[in-house]
Amino acid sequence: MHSVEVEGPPEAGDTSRVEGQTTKLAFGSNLDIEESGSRQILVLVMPEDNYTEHLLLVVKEISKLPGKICYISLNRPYNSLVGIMQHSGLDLKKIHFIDAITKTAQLTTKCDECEFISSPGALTELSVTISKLMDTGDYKYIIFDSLSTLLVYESDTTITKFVHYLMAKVRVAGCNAIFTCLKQDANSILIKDINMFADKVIDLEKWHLGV
Amino acid sequence: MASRRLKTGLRESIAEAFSNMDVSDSILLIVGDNVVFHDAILYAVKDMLSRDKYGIYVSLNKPHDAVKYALHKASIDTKRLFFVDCVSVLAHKTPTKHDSNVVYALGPHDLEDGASVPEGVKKFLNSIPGEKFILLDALRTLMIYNDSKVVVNFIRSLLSLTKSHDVKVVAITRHEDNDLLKRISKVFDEVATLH
Repeated sequence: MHSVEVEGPPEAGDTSRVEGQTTKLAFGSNLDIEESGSRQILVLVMPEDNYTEHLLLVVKEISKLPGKICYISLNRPYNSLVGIMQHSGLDLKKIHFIDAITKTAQLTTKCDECEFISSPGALTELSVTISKLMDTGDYKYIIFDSLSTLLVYESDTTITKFVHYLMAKVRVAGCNAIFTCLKQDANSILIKDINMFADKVIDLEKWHLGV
Repeated sequence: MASRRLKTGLRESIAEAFSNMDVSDSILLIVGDNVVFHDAILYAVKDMLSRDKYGIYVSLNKPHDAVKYALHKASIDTKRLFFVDCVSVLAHKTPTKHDSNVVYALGPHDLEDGASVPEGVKKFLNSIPGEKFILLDALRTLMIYNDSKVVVNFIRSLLSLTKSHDVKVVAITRHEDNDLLKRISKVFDEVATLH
């Protein structure tokens, strides 16, 4: 057996895998969420500080593009999210929610804009609900908030298989997707595994977001 | 085991790692930096196709159309590529049109003798004349779905076909797969690590 050790900076792809910086996220051009005719799955590595603010900026940018958004929240309950998004001037008519938090604390009533899941660890329930929504063909963008939360609920292998399935489903349904994860988790084996299934890993700390 | 340390870009590193592929039958490419993982796959395909071979791409991470799109975007002609798609069926995709260049396997878990992944590879091996290569994108994904013993047996069965079917085997994986790497690196002719 012959072994070759290769050292030195890679020619392609720095940590952000995007060229240059911008004062504003512009998904159509800079993050390639929707390149001409393609479907993209991005993993956004978000700094712990101002996580919500960063995420809101991302949602705001996507909401400017044509097409509806399916927002999957494993972090904040629907009511809280809606309040924050309305306050930041987001047009909520384009967004449908899947909330995996509210039901962990209280009973829910039927809501046209939101599906309630029993907990972030209810992966079967979550995947069935997401699949049903994607199969309608109404949604062009999926925002998954966040991979880091999943880490708390299930084993690494279970989560990796779940996310592999979900990303495949996103591609087959012809959607684009953004999966967020915290900077502190970016180097975990699980997140590195998941990155193999995505198209790009983008470190948001490399961007000027004006947060 | 000979060892070379190179200080070049990713494309040059892969070209250097593959420089013995005219005489070697198999190579394990270990990508240390996760960020360049996707680019490493593209350069590996490009390098092997530049040797006038037909390729059998076993797509374990993404459906074959997503892989094809990435290759086209990198200006890589996919006319000489055949796909064993191990992902679409996982997402319950029913193929709508017949494409003789694609075989849909049940998933990365279906690896035992006679199962859909090895049978898909064999179908192309038996029908494509001349020099070929098989690319696995990535061993790590096989490890997520299978016991390491099953993965090692699968790789051994592929490597046993190199002489009889005029095929080279290129396997890509991530650096973290230490257990697998220990078991499997010995069966490859070449092992190249990209840091």
